[in-house]
Amino acid sequence: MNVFFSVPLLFLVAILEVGLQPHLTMLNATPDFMLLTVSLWSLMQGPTEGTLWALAGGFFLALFSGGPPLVLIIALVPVALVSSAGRSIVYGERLILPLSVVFVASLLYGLEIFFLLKLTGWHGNLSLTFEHRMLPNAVYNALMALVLYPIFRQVHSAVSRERLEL
Amino acid sequence: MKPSRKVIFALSIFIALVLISHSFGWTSSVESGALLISNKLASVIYSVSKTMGDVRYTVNHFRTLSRENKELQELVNKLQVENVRMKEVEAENRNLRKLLNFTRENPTYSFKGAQVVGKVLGYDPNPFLQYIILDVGSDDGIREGMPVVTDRGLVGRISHVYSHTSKVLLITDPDSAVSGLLQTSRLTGIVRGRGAHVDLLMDYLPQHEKVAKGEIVITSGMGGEFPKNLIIGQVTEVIQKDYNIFQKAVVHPSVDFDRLENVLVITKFSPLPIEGFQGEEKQK
Repeated sequence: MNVFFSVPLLFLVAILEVGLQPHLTMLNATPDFMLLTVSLWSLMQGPTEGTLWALAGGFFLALFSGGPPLVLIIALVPVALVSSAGRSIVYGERLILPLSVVFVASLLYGLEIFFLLKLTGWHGNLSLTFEHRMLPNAVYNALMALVLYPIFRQVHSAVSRERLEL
Repeated sequence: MKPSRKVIFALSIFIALVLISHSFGWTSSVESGALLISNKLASVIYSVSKTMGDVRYTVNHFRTLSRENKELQELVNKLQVENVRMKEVEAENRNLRKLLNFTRENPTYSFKGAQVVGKVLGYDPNPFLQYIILDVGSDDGIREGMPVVTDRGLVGRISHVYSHTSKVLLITDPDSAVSGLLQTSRLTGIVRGRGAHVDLLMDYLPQHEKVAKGEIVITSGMGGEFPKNLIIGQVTEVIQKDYNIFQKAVVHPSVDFDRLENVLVITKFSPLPIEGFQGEEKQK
């Protein structure tokens, strides 16, 4: 996708994540908009563009985070790679694909952030974090993927058409 | 055809009888029934004619009505927006009043500047870190380490300061540690965060002292990082195991961290005098 479109889009997603997240809390879970964006886009566009989106998205998130800035950037890259691998395994219209990919990607993202934060001396507890944050967020993200996947497909097909025309 | 005399006579008799009956009130029930029917009929005819008149009016004034309808719809939309805005202002006003009461009740602390409050702009995008972003920064006199409160109690402390914004480390973050005091039993301990939506844990409480459920936990003021007597929360569970040196208490925070809107930054307060340390130093 055009860099003049994707960069502002990712910045907007970061702002949405910071500002909207607390208002969308359901049963202690909050959606990770950047993770959803990177994961779904990687699922459609493959690892190269997905990784670029992960790096840019992670950078924008880091601007708003009080924690170590590299954590979010590093954590999003494997999300892009895993999601794009999902694309080669099964490809089709079925919604089970984004649902399962985003669920796995969310858990991976959570575990990565947890262990990266631990390396910086953070005092979090794995079982509490998993029970109260990681798992609820993964379920919420997976459900959100069902809503967002058709939109991403539309954007993807529009972008692909544009490329073919060029 | 000419009516016969008999018919005219019979009709005259009938009219005369009706008039006599009417004057004596013998036909009142019949009359009221007739009136009722005629009224109903009249109202039906009236409503039909009114509808027809309305239809005619609508057809004649279609353009005017359409314009008026559009104008009224716009007015409704505008008023709805206004109403939402007024409700927001009302809610904000309520919050600010609460904060104002808090500053009145605690006159020994200095609160941030003319605006007094910092508005919460957002939450940390890292899912496990508990930070919020405020719309006040170093230009407003905010410095790292300043305590942040609401009328309900302690929120956290300023961890990063920029010129117009700042970040607050919430007391629910696992990296947060606050010196707490149990209000009734007067025991002190360290209150640590355990992440979002998980109650706090008060540690280092002496093993053989009695800690009751429902006790209020306040800041002890020790360490000088927070003023004394700010409410942290309430004990919901006591964890006491014989093999541990200390007992622990689970503390439910008094502040609802999911609904933070306006907060107060305490810019100045008098830390507790550290008499013990001063005494020790003198002895040395």
